[in-house]
Amino acid sequence: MRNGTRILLTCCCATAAFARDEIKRDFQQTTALPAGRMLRVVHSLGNVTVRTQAKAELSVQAAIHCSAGRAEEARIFCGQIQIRVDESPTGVVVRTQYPHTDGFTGWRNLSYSVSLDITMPETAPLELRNRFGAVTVQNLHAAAKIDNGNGRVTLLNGRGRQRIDNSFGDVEVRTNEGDVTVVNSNGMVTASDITGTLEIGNGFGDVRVSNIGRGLTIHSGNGKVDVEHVTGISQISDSFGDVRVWDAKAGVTVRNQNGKVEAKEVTGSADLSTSFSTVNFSRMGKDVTVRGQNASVTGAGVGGSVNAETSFGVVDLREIKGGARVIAGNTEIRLSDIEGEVYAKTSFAGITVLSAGGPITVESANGSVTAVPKPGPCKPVSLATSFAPIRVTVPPNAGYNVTGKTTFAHIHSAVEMTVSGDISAEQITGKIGSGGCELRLMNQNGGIDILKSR
Amino acid sequence: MIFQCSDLERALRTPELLPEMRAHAARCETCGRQLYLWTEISRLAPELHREWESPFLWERIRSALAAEASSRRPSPAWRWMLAAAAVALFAVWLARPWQSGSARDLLTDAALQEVQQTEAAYTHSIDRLSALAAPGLQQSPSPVAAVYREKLVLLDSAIADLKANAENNRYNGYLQAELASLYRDKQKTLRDWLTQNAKRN
Repeated sequence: MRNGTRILLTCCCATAAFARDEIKRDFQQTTALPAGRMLRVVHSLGNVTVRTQAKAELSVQAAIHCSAGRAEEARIFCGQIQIRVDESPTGVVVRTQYPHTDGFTGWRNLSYSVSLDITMPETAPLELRNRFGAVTVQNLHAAAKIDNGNGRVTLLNGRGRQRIDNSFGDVEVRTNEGDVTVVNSNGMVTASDITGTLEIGNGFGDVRVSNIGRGLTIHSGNGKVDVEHVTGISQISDSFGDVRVWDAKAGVTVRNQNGKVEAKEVTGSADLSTSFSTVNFSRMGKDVTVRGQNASVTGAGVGGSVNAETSFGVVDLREIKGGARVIAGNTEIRLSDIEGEVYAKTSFAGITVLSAGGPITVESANGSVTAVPKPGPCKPVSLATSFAPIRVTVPPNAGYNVTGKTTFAHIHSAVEMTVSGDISAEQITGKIGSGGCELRLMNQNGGIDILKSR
Repeated sequence: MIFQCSDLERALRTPELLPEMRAHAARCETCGRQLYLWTEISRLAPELHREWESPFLWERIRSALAAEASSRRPSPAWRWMLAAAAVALFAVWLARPWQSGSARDLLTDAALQEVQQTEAAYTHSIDRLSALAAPGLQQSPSPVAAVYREKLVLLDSAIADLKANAENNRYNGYLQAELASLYRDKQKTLRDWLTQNAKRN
C-alpha cells in the first residue's frame, strides 16, 4: 500500500514536472475571390485542407498550436505566427509566416504547428505549396498545382488539369475530369477515375491506377505498377518492380528491368520487355512484341501475331491467331495452336511446334526439333538442327516434296514416300502423296524421323 | 468461556481448551464437523509421511537464498530506471500521443522522451545494419546495389533535412512522426538489401 502510494505520488510529481503549456489560437478571415482569379497558398508545418463552394468568396481558418515551458512564452510566440491573406495581381495569396526560432532570436524550447482549413470558389485555379504536412483538396472544378513535401496529398472529385509534385508522402487522386500529372518520390501513387490523360513519375514507390479515360504514361523506378481499365494508349517504364496491366482498350508499351511484366485483356497491340524476370500475356487483341533478356515468355490467346526475342528463358506460346516469330538463345521454345506462320530459332535447347496452321521454319543448334503441322492444305516446312533429332509428323492426305539430309545418323520415314535419286540412310529426296509443299529437313549428327499422324 | 466455532483453531493449539471445545462440538453441528475433519487429518497425516535422500537440497536452498539476498540489495540505478519507466508510462498514458487530431499536434515532454528513446533504438539498429550492409553495398557493381545506394542517399538527405527542422520545433508531433517513418524506411531498406544480398550469395 505504501509502495503504491509512493509510485502514484512519484507519477503525479513527474507529470507536474513534465507539464508543458500548450496554447491554441484560432485565425479566421474571409475575403472575396472574383471569378478568374487564382488562389495561392504557401504553408508549412501543418496540414492544409481545401474545400470549395459556389460563392466567389475565400474563407481561411487556421488552428495555431504552440507549446513552451511557460504559457506566456507559448502565447507570445503564437501571437507572432502570422497567416497573411493578401491580394495580388492574379488573385489572393495565403501565406503562413513563422518567427525565426534559432538560438540567436531568444526563442528556445518552443514548438508549433498550424493547420489550415480553406474554403475557396470552386472554379478558381489553385496553386498550393506545403512542407511537413498533408494536403487534401476536394471538389475543385479548376486547375490545381500542388507542390508538397513530407506529407500525403489527396485530390478528390476534381475537374481540370491537375499537377501534383510530392516527396516522401503518398499521393492519391480519386475522380478527376481532366488531365492529371503526378511526380512523386518515395511514396505510393494511387489514381482512379480520371477522364483525361494521366502521367505519373515515381521513384521508390508503388503505382496503382484504374479507370483512366485517355492516355496513360508511367515512369516508375523501384516500385510495383498495377494498371486496370485504361481507354487510351499506355506507356509504362519501370525497374526492379513488377508491372501488371489488365483491361487496356488501346495499345500498351511496357519497358521493365528486373521485374515481371503481366498483360491481360489488351485490346490494342502490346510491346512488352523486361530482363531477369518473366513476361506473361493472355487474351490480347492484336500483335504482341516481346523483348526479353534472361527472361521467360509465356503467352496465350492473341488476336494478332507474336514476335518474341529472349535468352535464357523458356518461350511458351499458345492459341495465336496470327504468326509467331521467336528468336531465343540457350532456351526451349514451345509453340502450339499457331494459326499463322511460325519461325523459331534457338540453340542448346529443344523447339516444339504443335498444331501450326501456317508455314514452319525452325533453325536450331544442339537441340531437338519437333513439328506437327495442322491438318488441312499443306504449308511449307523447313527444319534444321544439329546434335539432336528432328521429328516431323505429316498430316493425313498432305502432299510434300521431301528433302532430307543428315550426317552420322539415319533418316526414317513412317510415311509412304516416292523416293527419287540416290538412296542412302543419311539423305533422301522424294514425294509424300502427290507432292506440293516443300518439306525440308536438315540435320547434323542427329536422326530424322518422318512420322504419320494418328 | 462461551465457546464459539471461531475459537476452534485456538483451542487446537491450546491443550487446556480441548475439553471445553469437545463439549461444545458435541452440541454444535458445525463445530462437530470441523473437529471431526481435524481429528481425521491428524490421524491420517502420519501415515502419509515419506522420507527420501536429497543431498543437494540444502545447497540449492542456500544458493537460492544468496541470489535472493543479492537481488534485494539496494540498487539505485535499477530503482531509478523502474521509477523512470513507471513515470514515462504514466505520463505517456496521460498525454496519449498516439491520438490523432489537433489536440496532439504538439507532444508533451514525456511523449517526446518516448520518441527520442525510439529514435535512439532505431539509430542503434540502423548503425548495426549499416555496418553489416556497407561492405557489400559500397563495393557491389550490380544495378540493384546502385538503386539501394541511391535510395539510402535520398533517405539520409531527407533525414538530415527533417532533423534540422525538428531541431527548432522538437515537440511538433508531425515532424517527429515523419522522422520515425524515414528511420523505419531506412531500416527496411538496409534489411531488404541484406536479405537480397544473402539470397544472391
